[in-house]
Amino acid sequence: MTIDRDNMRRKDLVSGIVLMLFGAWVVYETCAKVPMKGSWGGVMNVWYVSPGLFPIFIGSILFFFGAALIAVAVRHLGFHAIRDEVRSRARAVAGSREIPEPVFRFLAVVVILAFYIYMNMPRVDFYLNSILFLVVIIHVFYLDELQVMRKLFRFYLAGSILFLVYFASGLDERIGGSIPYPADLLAILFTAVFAAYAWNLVRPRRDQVSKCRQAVLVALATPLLIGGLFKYFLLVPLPKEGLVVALMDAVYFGLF
Amino acid sequence: MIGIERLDTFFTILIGMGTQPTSLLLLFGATLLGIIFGALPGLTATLGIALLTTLTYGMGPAPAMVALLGIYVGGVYGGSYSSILINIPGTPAAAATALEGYPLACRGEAGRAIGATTTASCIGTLIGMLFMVTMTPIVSAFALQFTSFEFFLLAFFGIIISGTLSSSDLVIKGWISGFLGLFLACMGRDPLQAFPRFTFGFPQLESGLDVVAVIIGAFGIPQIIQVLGGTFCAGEARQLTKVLPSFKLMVQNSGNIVRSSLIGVGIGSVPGIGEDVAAWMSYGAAKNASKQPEKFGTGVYEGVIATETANNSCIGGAIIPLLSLGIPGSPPAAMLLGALMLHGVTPGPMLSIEHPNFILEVTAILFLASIAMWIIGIVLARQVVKVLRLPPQIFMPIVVVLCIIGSYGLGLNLFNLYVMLPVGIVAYFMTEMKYPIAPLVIGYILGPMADENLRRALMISHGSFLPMFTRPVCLLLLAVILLTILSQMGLFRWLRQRRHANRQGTE
Repeated sequence: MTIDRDNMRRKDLVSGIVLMLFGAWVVYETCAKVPMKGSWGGVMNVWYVSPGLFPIFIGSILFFFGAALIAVAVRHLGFHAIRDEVRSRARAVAGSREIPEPVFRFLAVVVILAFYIYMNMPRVDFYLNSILFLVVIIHVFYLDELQVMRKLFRFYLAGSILFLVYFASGLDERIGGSIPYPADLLAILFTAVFAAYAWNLVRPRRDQVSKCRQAVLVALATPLLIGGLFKYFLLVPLPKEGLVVALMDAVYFGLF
Repeated sequence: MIGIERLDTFFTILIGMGTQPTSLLLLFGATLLGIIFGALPGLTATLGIALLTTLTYGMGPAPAMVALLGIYVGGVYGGSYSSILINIPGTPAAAATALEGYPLACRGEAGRAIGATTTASCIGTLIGMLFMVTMTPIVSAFALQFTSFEFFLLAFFGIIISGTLSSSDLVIKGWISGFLGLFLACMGRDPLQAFPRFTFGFPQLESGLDVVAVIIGAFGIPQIIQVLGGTFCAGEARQLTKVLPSFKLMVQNSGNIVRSSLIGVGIGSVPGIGEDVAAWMSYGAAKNASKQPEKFGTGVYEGVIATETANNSCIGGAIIPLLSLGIPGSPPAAMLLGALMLHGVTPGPMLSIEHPNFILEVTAILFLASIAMWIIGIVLARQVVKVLRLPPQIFMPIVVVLCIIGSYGLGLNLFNLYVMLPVGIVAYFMTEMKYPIAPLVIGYILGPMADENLRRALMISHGSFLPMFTRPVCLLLLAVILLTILSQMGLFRWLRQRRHANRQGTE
């Protein structure tokens, strides 16, 4: 219990510093950019009507709360704790060879989500993007073996970096001139290769192979159900409509 | 006379909804979905409402409320399934239920326990509904006298009280969370002069952050990271043979039910703290009132009845400040507020003037939802518990896709997705460091109200804070805020301890 509380106070020390900096930044940003006096949009300002009043109030309170958190942490741990904390963190960063499992799991979730949202969402067909995301994330976490998880994640990371280079270099637009939906075709290829790689990794074990099969089935069915519901029932256009949406549109509007 | 007219309107609405097949289908579907959401560990009623909100865009306010209240009632009740059958609470509100429910299931009484929780939840919802329909107009009428100073202090009070009561570690963390929410609300053009604040040159930020993106990010993403990022292991579900509602048991526990309902309504009406606190408090009260308190923890029906009555009666309680003041009483109610605003209904003192029958509509929906929940609970319980076999590593990624399309669907804006993930990651770290998330969302929702009313009040008083000390409601709110803050200070605690020691010395 005491160790838990000590750990929490150490975290409070860090969050207190972050909060103080954040509060100071809010106040600075407001003072620098928001007029406290003068005319804006035909309205003559006085300090108490200024749009900066509320953010300054919030920033100051956050700064004060951050300081209070630090005070509580220092009172609980003692001044030496700050020095020890900095040293132990520096040592941990310098000495770590392999990322610990909880950190790895966190990073895996965030990185997969980040590629799904920031890189692929505006560029790859919603269905294909979601299928790729589901195939990857379900395989990585459902197989639930650390070594397999690490290998699968590295494979996904390598593929996604290639995708990043492909998009950043402008190749997508250039190829798109002669071949329709090049990013979608690449996403299909990557999904298939990833699923095959995962299956190959766990091939000797029947229970794991069955999990791979479930992962692929869920990944294929989910976007079709959810996307179909939004697009054709609620009439919400999907974030990126590419190869599959064009195919589904052709079928849907052909039928109805 | 007015009362009879209101009663007549209520029954007209109730019969209208109860005889409309589409309404009933929507109600039963949403309640069932809520029960499934509640039963699945890691998914909560709040997230359920957030996701379903996206599916109600095309509906009018009344059908949208049918769906959202259905999932709310079902979601709060559904948590008891996994508490009883696998000893893992489906929602925080059902955590206390596991203490008695799981030992009952181990004794082979899972069906009877679920029967008891189903009936208790139904009664709890109905009692909460009665309080909601009687109290909301009274509070609304009182709030019509409020001026900008009162509204600013009310928003501030909501953040301070929810921060104070929802913190599991230092109280200051709850307040910090609330103020971070207020900061998020500052982003975009300000409500009075349309001056851009913290937009960083992004035109998409000029209208501020979208409420659904913030709520899904704050509640959904941390849950996804926690379930996938942790080594979550679901227990094996206990057998459920037949769900038996025992009315004799309910009659024996009538005192317990009334007490727990009152606790639930009371806790629910306090801004920001929700069903989980109500459940724990009523569990404690039931234990204190029991003739055999030593048996608590070994599988006692009084325990499950108390917790489930309280967490469901909390729904009605949480809706009182939501509809009368525009301040959500619990995290799901915060999401409900966001949903109502999306549908063009602005809760607050003016609600009964702008939409005279809205409170009665909500009452009728709550009534029907509690009946739907009871029917589904008794008839379909054995089918519903099958979802407990779904591994979280499968359903959580599906929830991600729902979160994505839900956030995007609002305004068809990819920027909402770009906002959702960072908000979620920050919320995850906050959760890990024991900062409660509910005050963050409440701060975000109440931010514009606080900002606008503070400046408007100062504009009227020409920069003077004096009216804050001359108006009775302001003084009352100020006193409560100051007392809440001071009660957490070292000096106050020292004085209390000294007084206690003095009293013991005299004795």
